[in-house]
Amino acid sequence: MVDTALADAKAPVATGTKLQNLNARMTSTSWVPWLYLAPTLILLGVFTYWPLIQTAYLSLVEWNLNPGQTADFVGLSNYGRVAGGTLFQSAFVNTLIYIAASIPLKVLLPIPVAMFLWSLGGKGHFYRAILFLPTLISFVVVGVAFMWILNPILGYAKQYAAMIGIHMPNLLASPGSAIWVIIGISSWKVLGFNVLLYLAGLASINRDYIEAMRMDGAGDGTIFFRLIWPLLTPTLMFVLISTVIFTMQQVFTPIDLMTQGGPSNSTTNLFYMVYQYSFVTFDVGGGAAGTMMLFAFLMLMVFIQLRVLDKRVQYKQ
Amino acid sequence: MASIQFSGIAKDFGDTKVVCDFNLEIADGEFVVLVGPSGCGKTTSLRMLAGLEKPTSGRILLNGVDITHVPSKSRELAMVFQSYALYPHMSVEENIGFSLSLKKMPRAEIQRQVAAAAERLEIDHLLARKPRELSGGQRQRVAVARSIVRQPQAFLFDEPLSNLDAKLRHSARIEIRKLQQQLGTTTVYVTHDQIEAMTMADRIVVMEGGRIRQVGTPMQLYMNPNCVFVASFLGAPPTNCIKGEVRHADGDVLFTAPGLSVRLASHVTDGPATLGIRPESLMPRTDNAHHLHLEGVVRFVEALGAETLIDLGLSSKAGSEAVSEVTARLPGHHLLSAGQVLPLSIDRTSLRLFDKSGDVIEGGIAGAPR
Amino acid sequence: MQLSRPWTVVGHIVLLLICISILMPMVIVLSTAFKPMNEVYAVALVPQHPTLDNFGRLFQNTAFGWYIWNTAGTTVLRVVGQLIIGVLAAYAFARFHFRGRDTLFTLVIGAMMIPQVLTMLPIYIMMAQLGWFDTWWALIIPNLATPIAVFLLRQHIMSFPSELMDAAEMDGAGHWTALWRVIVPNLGPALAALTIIIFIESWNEYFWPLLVTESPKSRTIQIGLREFLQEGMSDYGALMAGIIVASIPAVAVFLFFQRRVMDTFVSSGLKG
Repeated sequence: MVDTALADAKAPVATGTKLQNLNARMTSTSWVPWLYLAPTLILLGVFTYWPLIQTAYLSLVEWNLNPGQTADFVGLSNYGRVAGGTLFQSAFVNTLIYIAASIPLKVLLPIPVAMFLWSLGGKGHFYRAILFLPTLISFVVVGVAFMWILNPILGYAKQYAAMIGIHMPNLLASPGSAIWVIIGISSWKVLGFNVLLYLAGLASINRDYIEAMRMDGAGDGTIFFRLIWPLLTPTLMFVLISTVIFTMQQVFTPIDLMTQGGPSNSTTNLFYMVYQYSFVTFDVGGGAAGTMMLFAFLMLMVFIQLRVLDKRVQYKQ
Repeated sequence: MASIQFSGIAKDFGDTKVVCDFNLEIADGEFVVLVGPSGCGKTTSLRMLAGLEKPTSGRILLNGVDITHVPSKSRELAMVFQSYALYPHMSVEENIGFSLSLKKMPRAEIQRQVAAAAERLEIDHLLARKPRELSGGQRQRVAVARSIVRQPQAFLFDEPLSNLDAKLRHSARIEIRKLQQQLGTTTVYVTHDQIEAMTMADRIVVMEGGRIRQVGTPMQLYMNPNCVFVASFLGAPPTNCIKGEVRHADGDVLFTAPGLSVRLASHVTDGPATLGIRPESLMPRTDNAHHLHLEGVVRFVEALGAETLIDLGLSSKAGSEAVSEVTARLPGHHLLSAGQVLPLSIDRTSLRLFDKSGDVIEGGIAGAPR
Repeated sequence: MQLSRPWTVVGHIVLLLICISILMPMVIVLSTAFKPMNEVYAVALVPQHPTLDNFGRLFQNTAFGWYIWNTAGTTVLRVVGQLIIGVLAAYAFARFHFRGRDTLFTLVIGAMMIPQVLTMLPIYIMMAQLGWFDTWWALIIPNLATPIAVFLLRQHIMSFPSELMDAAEMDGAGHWTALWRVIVPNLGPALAALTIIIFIESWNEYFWPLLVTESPKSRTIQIGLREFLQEGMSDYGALMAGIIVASIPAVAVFLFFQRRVMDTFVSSGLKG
C-alpha cells in the first residue's frame, strides 16, 4: 500500500538533457546581493551621505532657499559671520553646559541604578517597566506636561512648593534656571533607557565568573572594579558617545516648545542656532556653515572621548 | 540510472588542501560509505557532490552529465544532515512537503506523497507536530522522509546517526539500509564510525588527510588492507600494529620485534616495518607447525562474556625491557590473571606486513600464499 | 550578584524615588485631563466631577483626528517599509560574499551615528524641489533606511545554523524563497523589537515633521500638539487630553510586542 505512491519513485526521469541545459548556463550570482542591498544603499546614499557633501557645499554660498535666486559663492565668509555673531557665543557655551551636565546625569547615574536592578534579578521587573515608560512617550508630550506642571501661575509644582512654604519662581523665565529645567527634563526622559542599555551590557556578564571570584574570597568592591567595570566599559563608551552626539538634538524639542532658545539666549545651543539660521531666517549659507562647525565640534568631542577612555582602559589592564 | 563519478576532484581552503585527487565511480543503486577520522575530507567531498561547496578542480558527473557547475537545487540530490536541519517553524508535514511545494505541486498531491513517505518511516502520527516536540530519533526520520519524498537521483547522508544514542544507532542503521534496498536509490553515506561503514556499505571508501586510501567491499578492506591506516581503522578492537625490523640473517629474511620473529618472503627488503595482527586471529596454543607461535605476559583482561579481550606484552626471552603490546580476542570466557604467561598461536595467512611508509608488502609472509 | 542588606535598602529607596518622579508627572497629566474646566487649577489629584469634555474639545477645536490619521498612516508605512528593506539588506550582508562587503556594512552602520543636524538642509531642499512639502512622502521616504534594523537582523540571520540554509538549498529554494519562507518566519523576536523601535521613533518624531508639514494634510500629532500649545495656551485640560491621546498608541504597541522583546534583551542576567 505504501509503495503505490513511491512505486513511481524509481522510474528515472530522463535528466540527461535537463542537466545539460542547465550546465550550459553559467550561474553567475555576483549581482544578486546588490539587488538586495539596492534600496538601503540608494536611500542612505541619497538621504544621508550625499547631503553631507551638499551641506559642505552650501556652507560656501549665500542663498535664501528661493529657487528664483541664485546661490552666490562666497567662500568662507559665512563661517566668519556666524562665528562672529552674538548668538554663536551663547550657543557654544550652552552646548558645553548641556554636554557637561548630561554626563553625570545620563551616563553615570544610570550605572548604579542598573547595577542595583541587576542584583535584583527577576524581582526588578516592576522598576524596569516604570523606568522604561518615559522612553515611550515623545518629547513633546514630556515638554507639554512639564510646562503644565511648572506653570508659574497655578502649576502643580508651584502649589506643592507653596504647601511646604517655598516660593517657586518662574523657572522658565529666568536665564539662570531655564537651562537647568531643560537639562532636567531631558535627563528625566532618557534615564530609563540608558539604564536598560547598561542592563543589557551587564546581562552579558556570566554570573559564573562572579561566583568564582567569591569562592576565591573577593569582596563586592573587588568584584566590581576587577570584573564588572572592565566588562562594562564598552557599554559606557557607547552611552557616552551617543549622549554627546545626540544630546543637542534631544533638547531641541523642549527648547522649541518651551523657551525658543531664550530667555536671553540662555537655553539655545548650536543645533537650535543652526535651525534658526536655516529655517527661521532662511539664511542657508549661514545655516550650513553653522552645521559644518557643529560637525567639527562633534568630531572633536568624539575624538577626545576615545582618547581619554583609551587611556583609562589601559590603566585598568 | 544514477551513477556518480568523481574525476580529479580537489578542494583547497586558502592554503590548506582539504581534498586531493579524489577519483571515484559509484554505480547505480550502490550504497557507498565514505569513512575516516575527522578532517579527512569526507564531508567536504559529500558537500561538493551536493553542490554546497565548489571544487577547486576536477569534475563531478551524474549519469554521465557534468554537474560540476550546476547549482544544488537543480541536481536532484537529497541530503540528510547531521543535525537534521528541520525547519523549526514548520510542522513535520510542511517540512517533508517543502520541496514539493516549491515545485508548485497541487496541494492534494503533496499531501498524498508526504503521507506515503511518512508512513514508510512510521511517523505518520507526527505530521502535525513541530520539530522541537520530537525526539532525536523522530527528527531523524523526518529528515529521511524529507529526502525520500523528492525522489532524488541519489541520497546523501552526512553522519546522520552521530546525534543518536548507541542503542538507537543500531536500529537506525538497519532501517536506513533496509529502506535503501527497498528503494534501490544510489546512496553516498559519510561517517566516522567504522561499524556503520562495515555493516551498511556495498563498498567502503576509506579517507585520510584528504585522500582516498582504499576502496573496496567491507570484507575486501578488512581482509586485505593496503596500508596500516586502513588495517587499524576498520575493526574493533583495532589491528595490532607492531613496529619492528626486517633483517637478512643466515639466508633468511626475518621480521623481528620484541617477543616476535617471523620468517618473511625473500623479496622483502631490509629496514623498519610494521606487522599487523588482528586480535581475533590469535588463538590459544595449537600444535600446528605452520602456525606462528608466541607467548606473552597478561597485562589486563576484559571479560565480555561472549569473548575475552586480553592485553599482552611480548618480550624477548633475554628479559630486555622492550615489549610488543598486543591485544588478543579469544572467544568465550577465559579465566586469566595479570602476570600470567599465555601461549598463543596464529595462522600465518592472517598476518600482514607493512613497510615503513605504511603500505602493505604483498606476499610478505613466508609460507603464506596470496 | 547579591548586595548586602543595607545597600539593598538604599537601592530600593533610591529606585522608589526615581519611580515616583517618573510617575508623578504622569499622574498629574492624567488627573488634569479628566477634570472639568473649573477644576483644572485645583491641587487635588482626583477630579470631583470626572469628565470627558476635554477630549471632546480636543477633537472639535483642532484637526486632531487628521493628525492621528497622518501619524498612524505614515508610521505604519514606515514600519513596514523599513522592515522589508532592512530584511533584504541584512540578508545580503549575512549570506553573500562579495567585494567590499565589510566596508559597505561599516558605512551602513556608520550612518546611524550621523545626527540629523548634518543632513537636514539638503534634504529639506530636496523635498522642496520634489514638491513633497506637506505630503506623506516627505515623512516616509527619507526615513526608510534603518541601519539599526540591518544590524540587528544581520546578527540574527548569521546565527542561523548553516545546515538549515543548506537544507533549504537542497530542497530547491533559491535565495528569495529561502529568505521569505525559511528565515523571516524565524525572525519573530527581532522583528518585534524593531517594530517597537521604529514605531516609537516615527510616532514621536518632532524635528523633521516640524520642517516639512504645514497643514492638517500631513501634520503629525506631535506638531499638532505644538500648534495647539501655541494657540490654545490656556486650555490645559484639552492639552493634557491631547498628550494622553498622543501617547496611547506607543504604549499599546509596546505592550503588545514587549513579551517577545524585553525578556530577550535582558533576561540572560536573570538566571542567577
